[in-house]
Amino acid sequence: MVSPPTTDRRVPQSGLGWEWTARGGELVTHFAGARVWQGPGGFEGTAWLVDDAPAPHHLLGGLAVLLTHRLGGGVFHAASVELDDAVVAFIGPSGAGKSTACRHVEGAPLVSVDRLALLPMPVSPLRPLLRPGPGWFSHPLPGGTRPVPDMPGALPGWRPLAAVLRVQKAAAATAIIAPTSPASAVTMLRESTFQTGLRPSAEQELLAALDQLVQHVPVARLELQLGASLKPLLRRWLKSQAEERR
Amino acid sequence: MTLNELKTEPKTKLSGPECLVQNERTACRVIGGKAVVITIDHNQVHVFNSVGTRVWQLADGRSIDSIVEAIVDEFEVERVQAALDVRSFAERLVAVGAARVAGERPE
Repeated sequence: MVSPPTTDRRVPQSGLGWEWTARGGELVTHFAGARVWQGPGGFEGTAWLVDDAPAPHHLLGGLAVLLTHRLGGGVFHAASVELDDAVVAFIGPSGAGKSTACRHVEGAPLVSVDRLALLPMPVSPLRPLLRPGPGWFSHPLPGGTRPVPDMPGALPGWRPLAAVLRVQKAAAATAIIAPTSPASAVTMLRESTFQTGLRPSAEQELLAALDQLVQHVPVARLELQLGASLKPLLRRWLKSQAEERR
Repeated sequence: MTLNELKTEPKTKLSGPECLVQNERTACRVIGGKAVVITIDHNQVHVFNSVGTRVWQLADGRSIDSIVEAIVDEFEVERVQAALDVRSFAERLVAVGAARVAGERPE
């Protein structure tokens, strides 16, 4: 699916790295320091060095975005934890409190710091597509800084996705999980999605994927109160959501 | 009738005979009766209420006056109020790049 760097490898002016020349293809995705085009011979990319990570990291990030999109999912700015064998993902803009929310689920291992791939089915290197049951699945991607260096981390792998919560600071004195309409849920998810394309058809496909996600996984707003334990609240809410969906 | 608030101030004033068409550089999906519209070049997401969604769906190149007629037929609203609201909403659609007046280049 991904073509090798068949064109000349060269050093871009901005620093070390390499560039794959796009040959009249269409830009399909970009991700940090990488761009991926769909050309006549497959996908081709450009990556360059930025201050915080090497070019291959960005290029692989871009390809991860592209591939998850092609498989009907997306990559999200999300910090996440494992709770009762499933993943709870926290989304929101920088400074919203995603990492803080993770810390407030005491004892729950951290799954992702900043980037989380969500798909309607897990992808295995041995068997390309597994579909063990309904629901969506998550896989952490590299990136971001751990909120607490010694916070326990979950082993990377596919896990069922329990819920997605859009974090914001609490107006009330306690933490609240507030429902949201499906359209608002899709909007919140779209705003936390790594850009997948500049083509209307790519955005259309992404909207369809997010609509599917909202139909299968609870998405809500979390008003986070500093110091308030989230674990009991999350467990109660997840239980009520499971009963509602039954 | 309340149309969803779009924050960008309109530059184009519309009077009614102009033909409104969705911008090709948008993506849309109606979810729970509300249109979620992405303007790709601005990377902005807009959510319209039920009336705004209908106006958006009707923006297929027909005139704003005929969109007003359709809204009056489908919703309980006075024609005068519908005309004001639809024109205002259409101006904002154009301002945010979600729609354009047929024959004109997108803003």
